[in-house]
Amino acid sequence: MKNLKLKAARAGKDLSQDDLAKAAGVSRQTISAIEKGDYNPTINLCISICKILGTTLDELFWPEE
Amino acid sequence: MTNFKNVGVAIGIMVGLIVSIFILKAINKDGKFKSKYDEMQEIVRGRAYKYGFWAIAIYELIMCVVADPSFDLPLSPFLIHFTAIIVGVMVQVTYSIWHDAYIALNTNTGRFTAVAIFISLFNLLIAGIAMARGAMMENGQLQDPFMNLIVGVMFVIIGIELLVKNNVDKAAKRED
Repeated sequence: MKNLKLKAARAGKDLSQDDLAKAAGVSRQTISAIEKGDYNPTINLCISICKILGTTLDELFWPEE
Repeated sequence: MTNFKNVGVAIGIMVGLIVSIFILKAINKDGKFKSKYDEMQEIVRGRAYKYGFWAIAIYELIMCVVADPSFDLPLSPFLIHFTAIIVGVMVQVTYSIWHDAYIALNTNTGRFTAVAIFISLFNLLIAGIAMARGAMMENGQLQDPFMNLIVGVMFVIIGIELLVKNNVDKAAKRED
């Protein structure tokens, strides 16, 4: 399932996938895979992404009802 | 004579391992020996090693049957086992490349490309010289210089795969 909330939050901060990847210490392809729903990140990476984007785990990673 | 050759091969492998440590240090941006991969890459590489292992196991099983004098295989015993390593490496590398886990986070791609081109050309040159001197084949069996040809071609294939993957990634990046 695509993570459109992550993509929107990243775009909202005016960050490219490269920028977010560098800040989180992962590859651009990993961020791309998370946004596409091809990869489920660990809780540590989720927290790291949330901190960079100034959001919460609920906002970015909790599935909608 | 065979013992001298075996000792030579063993020394060559040890020298190769030491040289590869320096090469790894040189191609990593942070000058460290260890390549850094993120969590997704580590998972993918684990899967790639698994497929590489099975490729070697299947190859060796086939060779158990085929590497018999009655089959007249055109490979020396050394090449039969060396090819197993190459098969495993190619499977591992190909899977890693196509699943974004070959290039480490701390790899300097420019230096990596330069080293890969050098290794490829160096091995192809040795193979070419051996071919010109007629040392590639002996008694209907391919001899050790064929190893250089395999390694040279392997690096060419890896280079082509990386180039194609890079172009696929560029197109995907534009879509993202």
